[in-house]
Amino acid sequence: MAKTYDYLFKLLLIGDSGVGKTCILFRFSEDAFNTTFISTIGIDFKIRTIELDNKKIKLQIWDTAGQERFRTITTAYYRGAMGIMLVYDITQEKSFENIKNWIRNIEENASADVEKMLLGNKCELTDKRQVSKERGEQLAIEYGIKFMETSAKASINVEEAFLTLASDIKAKTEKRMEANNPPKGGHQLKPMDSRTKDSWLSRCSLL
Amino acid sequence: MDESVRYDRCHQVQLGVFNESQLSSVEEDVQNLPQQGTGNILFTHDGVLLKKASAEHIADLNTSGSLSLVEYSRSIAEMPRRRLLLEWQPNDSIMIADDSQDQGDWALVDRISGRTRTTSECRAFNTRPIEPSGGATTRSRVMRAQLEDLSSVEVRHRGQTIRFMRKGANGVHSEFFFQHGNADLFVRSMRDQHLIENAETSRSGGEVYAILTTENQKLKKTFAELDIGQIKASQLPRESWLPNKLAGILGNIPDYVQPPFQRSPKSRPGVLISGDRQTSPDNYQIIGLSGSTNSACSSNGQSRGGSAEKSPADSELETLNAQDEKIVNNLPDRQRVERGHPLTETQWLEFQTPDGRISDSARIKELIFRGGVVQSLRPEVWKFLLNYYLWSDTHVERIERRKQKSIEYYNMKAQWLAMTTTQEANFCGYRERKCQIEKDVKRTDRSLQFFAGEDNPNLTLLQGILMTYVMYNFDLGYVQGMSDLLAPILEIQVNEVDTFWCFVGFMELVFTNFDIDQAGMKTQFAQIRRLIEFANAPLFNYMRSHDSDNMYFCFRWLLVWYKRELNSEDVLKLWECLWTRLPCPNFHLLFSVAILDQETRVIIDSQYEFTEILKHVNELSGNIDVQKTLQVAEGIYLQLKGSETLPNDIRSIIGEPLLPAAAGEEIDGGMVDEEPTYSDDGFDELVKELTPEEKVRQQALLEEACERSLFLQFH
Repeated sequence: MAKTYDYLFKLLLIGDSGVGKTCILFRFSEDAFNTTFISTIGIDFKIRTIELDNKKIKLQIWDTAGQERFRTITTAYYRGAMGIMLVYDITQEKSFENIKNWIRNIEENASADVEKMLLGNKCELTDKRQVSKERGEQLAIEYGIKFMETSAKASINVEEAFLTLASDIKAKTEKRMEANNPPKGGHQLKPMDSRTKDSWLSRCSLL
Repeated sequence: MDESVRYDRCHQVQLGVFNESQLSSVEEDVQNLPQQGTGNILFTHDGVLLKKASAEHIADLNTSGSLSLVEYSRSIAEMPRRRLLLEWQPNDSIMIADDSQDQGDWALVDRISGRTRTTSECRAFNTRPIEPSGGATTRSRVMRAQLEDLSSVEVRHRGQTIRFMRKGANGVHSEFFFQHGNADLFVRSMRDQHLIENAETSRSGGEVYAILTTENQKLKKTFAELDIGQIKASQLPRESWLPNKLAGILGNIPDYVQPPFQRSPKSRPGVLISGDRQTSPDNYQIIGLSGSTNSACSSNGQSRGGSAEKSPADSELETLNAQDEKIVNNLPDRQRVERGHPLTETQWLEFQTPDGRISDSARIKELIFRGGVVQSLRPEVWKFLLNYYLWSDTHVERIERRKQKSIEYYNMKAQWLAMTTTQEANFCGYRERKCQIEKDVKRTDRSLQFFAGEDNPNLTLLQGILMTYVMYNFDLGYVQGMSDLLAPILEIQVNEVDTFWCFVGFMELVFTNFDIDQAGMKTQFAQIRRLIEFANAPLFNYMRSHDSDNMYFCFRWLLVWYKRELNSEDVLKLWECLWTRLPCPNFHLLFSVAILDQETRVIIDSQYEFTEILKHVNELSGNIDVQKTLQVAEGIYLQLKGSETLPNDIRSIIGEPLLPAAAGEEIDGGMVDEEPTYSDDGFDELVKELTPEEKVRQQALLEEACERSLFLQFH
């Protein structure tokens, strides 16, 4: 099998049941939204290849059942995840409060250096909002991870979220590769970092 | 004087065995015996009965003795000449020799020592023990045949009998019965010596091997040795032979190059030591010994004795099949089973007595297992299958029962309808269950007409029934997947009360799928794993070597009994079949084994890793042939049921009575030599599995601690 990509990144979507994990994945992989999604039983994944800085990156994105009692099954597939998106529903206070439980779940089952990102989904439902954006940002700062509010339905920030996570993983990967080959590419990475940060900040201001 | 006596005896015995030209050769051979001594015994087996032979050996038929392959060689001009003889020697002649006054104690000791040595060495595949010179006097009743006079050898009766065929007329030369059931070891030894190669399966079902000519033997042996030259350098053929046969070698290379090159690396000791997979030449060599009974091979559509041009995947599959051979030696052939027709209204009425009792519910269940139920009967028959109605009740009793059940239902329904906002705010467990139900009802079967559209009253019913079930069984509550099980029942029953009680009956069968510790699911994963290990060893070994033997990819299948894998009509057919509990309560697990049985070839040939296996399994959704899979599942069930050495843990899974411990020991005692080795592997596997179990327990403990802390936070 001939390789058609430069990197393969395995990503994981986790969070309470019904927060929109499958809808986020569907929006990113098929660029569509369906109001009659069935609940996820077990686990599945989708693949999409993107291009970042002239590198082809194959994203393998795993979608999991959110109900708590299925965790022993779903955590079996945490192995090898390079990035994890923790998703809550801004209209469900409980799903936001459970993020800390999901963080603990990651710490127990995923590799220590996994990239994490916090997503507050369903941001188009402004009249039903229960979790402010500020609280989301504060929690992300507390855990030292990035934060975005998204809407799978209205296609807000979904693409940006995945590109940001992939970019961070790529930077970390190349930094590790650079450590093994000091003369190469060190200087070039810095401009990309700056661009990434600027991009993220500018996207944040949209919300 | 002594030499003269020996000559006469040999001459008399051999007259009737060999034709004229061969007799001449033997005479030449005999003349040189004093100089070279006797031949080398390549391998020998004891406990071999002579079943068929030429007329001069009638007296020895059904006599126990030993069967050996002996190599004689002498030089003619400048070229060595190798002659291989098959020799069977009755035990009687040994006794006569031992009793002979002329031999005395020395002969007795020597005889016993010799036999012990050859048996041990044969087991270790050590070759070339030298038979003592005194043996000449005991060969008077030996049955001998030159390998060059035989065309093929056939293994029959599951490795208990081998038959040698003559060249030319293709008649039977001789037949031997191995009392220890290890004829395959004898054949394996012949293969190791490159004396035979695979041929087609005979009409009677045995495995046939062509006996190679001397020239071909040398060629195959040469190529094999080239591959492991470092180990067998000292046994390379003499230089004087190579130059003279160079042209012949070149001419024959295409016929023999690939198989040895492809297979030999797997036999290298280094590979055996360092390789992760438990592949050994022993296992590899028994490919095809019982091919007609190999369910995995037949399901894979593999042809026996395939062409020499094999891909690496085929080679690996052969290796896996080799391991499978050992295991399924005790599995009977897979039977072809037939599905039937749905239970009709006419049949249903015939089973009812005038007052409404159902006579012979066992027969009805058989019909339903075989063909399901016609659509118009489903609302009524399902009530019986799900224990809402009792088979023995009369019409009047059923009306009364339904009335009582209705009262009970509405009492429970009233409990959650009466819940006040304040109560709900103070009732965390209730809120969680209610919230999850609301989320899932919105996304259950919305693509079906019955549940489509907004403000659909059937969605209200679905939600109401699930809420009432929470009141009925608060501890279990609502878990994702339950709405998938309830929806088809509601569509058939329509009535709220009837639907609820049918759902209760279904949940009685599957509630362990939803327990918080998921112990029920893990038990089923382990059971499927065990079933596949016994019924489909190639697939099992593949999955084990590719991190997929935890069977987690079966999760969705098992949680909701294939609801997400089949179209609506097929779900109904499958469920009513399974609800009969025939042929055993765990038949839904055999359905999984049957699906995987049909996918074995694809999974192995595609070299899927655990990611691809999960993706492939998930994508089978919508592509499973229910009737075909039920047939395969029943066929596998009958194979397992018919196995004479089925372990008790598997008997437990398929609902067979367990064997007493003593009987189990007897069965173990009867196993062939390789079985203990495999048992050891099983034990090692069991030991290895303890660690994951410990991890699972720790995981459960950690989760419990998390929940407690979560609970404390809410207080």
